[in-house]
Amino acid sequence: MKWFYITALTAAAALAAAPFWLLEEEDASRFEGKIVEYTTYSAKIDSIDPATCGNTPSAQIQGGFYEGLYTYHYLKRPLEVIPGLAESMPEISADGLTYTVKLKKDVKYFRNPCFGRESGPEHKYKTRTVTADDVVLAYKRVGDFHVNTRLSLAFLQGKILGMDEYRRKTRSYAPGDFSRYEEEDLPGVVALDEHTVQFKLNGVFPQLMYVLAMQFYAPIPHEVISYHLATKDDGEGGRIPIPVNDRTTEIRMPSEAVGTGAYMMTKWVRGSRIVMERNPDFRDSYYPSEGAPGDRERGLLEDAGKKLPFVDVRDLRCVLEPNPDWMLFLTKQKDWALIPTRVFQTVISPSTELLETWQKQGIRLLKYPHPGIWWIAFNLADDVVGKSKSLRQGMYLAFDVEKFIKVVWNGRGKRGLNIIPSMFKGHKEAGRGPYAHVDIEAAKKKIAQAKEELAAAGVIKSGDNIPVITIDFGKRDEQTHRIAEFMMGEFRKIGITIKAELNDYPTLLGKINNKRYQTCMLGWYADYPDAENFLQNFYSPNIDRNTNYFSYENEEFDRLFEEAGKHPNIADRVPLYARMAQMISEDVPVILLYEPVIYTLLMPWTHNYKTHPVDFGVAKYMRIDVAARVRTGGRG
Amino acid sequence: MTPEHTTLPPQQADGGDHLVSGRSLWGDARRRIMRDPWAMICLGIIVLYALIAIGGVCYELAAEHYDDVPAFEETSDYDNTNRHPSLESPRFYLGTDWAGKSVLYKTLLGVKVSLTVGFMANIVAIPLGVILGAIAGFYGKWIDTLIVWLFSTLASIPGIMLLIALRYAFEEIPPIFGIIDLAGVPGVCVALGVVSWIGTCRLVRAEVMKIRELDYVIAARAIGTPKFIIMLRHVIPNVLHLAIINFSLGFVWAVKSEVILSYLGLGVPVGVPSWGNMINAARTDLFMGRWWELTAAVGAMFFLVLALNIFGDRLRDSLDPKLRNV
Repeated sequence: MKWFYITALTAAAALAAAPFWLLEEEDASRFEGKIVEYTTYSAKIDSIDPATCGNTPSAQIQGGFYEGLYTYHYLKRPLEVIPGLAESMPEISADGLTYTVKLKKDVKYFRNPCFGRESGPEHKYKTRTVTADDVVLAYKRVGDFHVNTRLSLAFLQGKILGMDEYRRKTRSYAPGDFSRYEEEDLPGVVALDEHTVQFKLNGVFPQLMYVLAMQFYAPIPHEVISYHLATKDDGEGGRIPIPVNDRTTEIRMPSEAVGTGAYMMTKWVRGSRIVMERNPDFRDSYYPSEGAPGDRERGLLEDAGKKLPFVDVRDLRCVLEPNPDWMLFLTKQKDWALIPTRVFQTVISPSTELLETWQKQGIRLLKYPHPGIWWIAFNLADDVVGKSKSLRQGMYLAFDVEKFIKVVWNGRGKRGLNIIPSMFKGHKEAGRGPYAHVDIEAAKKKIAQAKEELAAAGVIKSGDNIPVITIDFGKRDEQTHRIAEFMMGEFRKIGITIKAELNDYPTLLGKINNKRYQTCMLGWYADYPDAENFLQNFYSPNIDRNTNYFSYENEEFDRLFEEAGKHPNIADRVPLYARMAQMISEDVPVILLYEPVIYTLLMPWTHNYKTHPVDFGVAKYMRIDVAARVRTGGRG
Repeated sequence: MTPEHTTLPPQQADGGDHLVSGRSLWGDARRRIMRDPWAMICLGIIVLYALIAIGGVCYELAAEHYDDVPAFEETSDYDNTNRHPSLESPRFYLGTDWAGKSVLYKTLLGVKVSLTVGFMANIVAIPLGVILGAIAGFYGKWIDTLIVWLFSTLASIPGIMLLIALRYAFEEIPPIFGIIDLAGVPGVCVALGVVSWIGTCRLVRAEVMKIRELDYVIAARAIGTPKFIIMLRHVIPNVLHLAIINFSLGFVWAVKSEVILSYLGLGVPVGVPSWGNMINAARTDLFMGRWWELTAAVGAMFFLVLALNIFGDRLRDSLDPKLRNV
C-alpha cells in the first residue's frame, strides 16, 4: 500500500511538473547576440503556400521566404521591375508570345529534411539549387484543379498556353495523386534546360512581367511534394507513404515552406506568433546603390552595396487590435508602428506633421499614399442589392465619403473617384463617377425607384420598405465598430437599415469565397502597377476564381477587358481602362471609399525603411541598430 | 397577568373565541421587506431603472413613428466629438463620444438593454432550473441521474467559454419566424439563460428531495393523488421562493455578462447603445484621458448591480424562515 501512495504521489508530481519540460522554451537565449527585428501583424494568416496565397496579410508573411523570378527595385519610383531569381530580363519573341527566362545558378533552397542529410560531422540537412523544373512545378500547382488557387490562377488563366487544358486534365486525378505533375504537361511553361524556363502565351499579355514578379509563382522543389505531402515519418527514422486519400495538396507547416528568400520560417503559432530566421544559404545579394530623388538625403543609401539581409531574426507577434500594438511601440517593444485612429491627434499636428514631442525622441514619420482602394462591395447575386441598380446608386449618393475619411480615418486617405487609384494611368481619363458625391435628395429618389424595381422583381411587396441590408466586416476591433456605426448612420438618412456583422478576417474571406454575403467592406491593394489589376476584379470569368466576388457581369466590360489585354502599349490601353472604369462607376458594384495614405512611425534605431507599394519581400533591406535600441531602453 | 407577559396571541388572551387568519409566507415576506429601509431604497432604485428602460422603449417607438423625433443613431454631431462633461446643455452633462453622441442619453438607453437581458435571461433560466430541478428531485431514479449528468456536464465547461461558443453558434442561425434574430439581443438572452439555469436546478432539486418526504406529500400520495399533480400543486409552490431569490441574483449575473460579452464583441449588435458596448468603446479612450464614457457606463451598472444584490439578499432573508431570527 505504501508503494501505491509513493507511486501515485510521484505520478501526480510528474504530471504537475510536465509543462516545465514539455512546453517549448522561449527563444530569448537562442537569439542572444543576434539582430532581432520586433514587429507585429494584424490579421490571422491563412496560407503559407505561395499557390494559395490570396490576401495581403498572408502575402506579407510569405514575402519573407518566397521569391519570384523578378522583383522590384526597392528604392526607385516609379516602380522598376528587376531580376529576382532570374539572371537577367527575359528574352521576348518578336510576336510577344514567348518569354525565355534564364535562372541564376547560385540560388539555393533552405536546408530541409526533404533534401536528405549531409554526411559530414554536423549531419546537417542538405539543400540544392533552384532549377527550371521547380519553376514549372510551381506553375503546374497554380493550374492544378486540386490546389485551392484562386488569385494566383486568376492572373494566368486564359493567358498561359495550355493552362486551361492542364487544369481540366488534373481534375481527373485523385487529389492526393501527385503523379499528375509528371504525367501531364503544361505547354505554356517549359524547362528548356536546367536553368532556362520558357513561357508561351495564348496572346499578348502586357502584365506578364508584373506577374512574374509575384511570389505566388515562387519555385517549389519536387521534394516538398514527394517528402512532405506524399510521405510521413514511420517513427523509426524512415518515411512511409501517406494513403492517397489522406494527402493534403497544400503546404501548411513551416517545415514544408521551402523557399529561397532571405528568411526561413522557423516557427508559426497560428494566430499568435511567427519567427523567421536568416537563411544561411541565401545567395549574395546587395543593398541598392541608386534610389529615387530624396532617398540619399533621407539616409536610404547609407548601406549601398552592403550584403543583405541586415537583420538575423524577425520576431512577429499577431496583434489584432491597434491599441495593444501601439502600446508595444510606446514601450519600445517594436521597431515601427502605424498610428491608431484614437491617438492620431496626439501624434500628428493639424498640418499632418509629427508633433515636436515625438520628434525629440528621435521618432520619424513616414507618409505615403498606398496604391489601393477601400470599398463597400455588393454581392450582385443577392436578391436585394443585386436586383436593383438604383438601390446601389442611392446608397452611394447618401454616403458622405469625405466625412468618413475625416471622422473615422483622421483624414488619412483620399476619396476614391473611380475604380482606378489616382496614381495609376487611366484614373484621370475615367474621371469622377456620377455617384461619387453626396446628394441626399437624389439618393431618396433613387431609393424610391429601387422599391419599385424590387417590387417588380418580386423581392418585396409594393409599398414595402427596403429590407435590412447586412454589411460584413473582417475585424471585430473598436475601429471597425465605429466604421459600422458610421455607415449605419449614413444609410439611415435614406431610410435604409443596416445590420453590421463583425467577423475575423478568414471568416470574412470564407463568406466571400462562398458568396455568402450581401455587402462587405473590403478593398484591393495593387499587386502590380497597372490599372488592369483593379479592373480584373470585375471581369466575369473571374467570378469562378473569386476575384470577382461581386458577381459582376457585363458583356461590354468583358469585351473591353479582353481588348485591352491585346495592347502591349499602355497608351493604347488607357482609353479602354477609362471606359471600363466608367462602366463600374455607373453600375455601382462597389461604393468607393478611399485610397489610403499610410502614416508609419519609425523608432530611431530603424534604418532603410521605405514602404514599397507592391513588393512584400522588402524586410531584408531593413537595418536595426540594436546597440541604439538597448541604449534607449528597448529590447536587446 | 399583564398582557405584556402573555405568550398567547391577544385574541386568545382576552378570551375571545373568533379566529384570526395567520400571515402567509409571502405576506410575511412582504411585510418584512417593506419594513426594511435599505431594501426599499434598493427597490426604488430598481424601479427607477425600470422606468428609465420603459422611457427608452417609448423614445425608440416615437423615433420610429415620428419624423421629428430623431433616432439615437441619428444624433451624431461630428462638430462636438469627445467633449468633456459640462453643464452647457443636458446632452453634454456626461460629455460626448467619438461621434458627438450624448453619453448621458447613451447611458440611459443602455438601461433598456441591460434590464432586457437580465430579465429575459432569467425568464429562460429560472423556469428551466425549477422544472428540471423539481423533476429530478421528485422522480429520482434514472431521471435524476440524467438531469444531474446534464447539469454536471454543462457545469464542467467554463461558463464564459460556453457563452462565447453559444454566441458564435447563434450567429449562423437564421432568424426564427423571421423575427427572433439569435444573432442579436435575443441570442444574448438565450445564451445567458442556457448557461445560468444550473445553480437554480441544483438548489431546487435538493429542496424537492427534502419536501417529497414531508408528511403532507406522503398524505397526498396516500389518498392517490397522481405524482405529477403532487409535484405541481404541493411541491413546486414550496420552492418558488428559491426561484425568486435566484431571479434577483441571476439578474445581476446576466447584466454583468452582457457587459463582458459586448466587451468581447459578442454581445448586443453594433450601434445598439449598451453599457458593454460603451465600455468596449471607451477602453481605448483612456489613452487620451477621455474617462467620461467609461465612468458613465460603469457607474450606471454599479448602482443597478448594488441595488439588485442588496435587494436579493434582503429578499432571501425574508423568504427563508430559517433566517428570520438571525
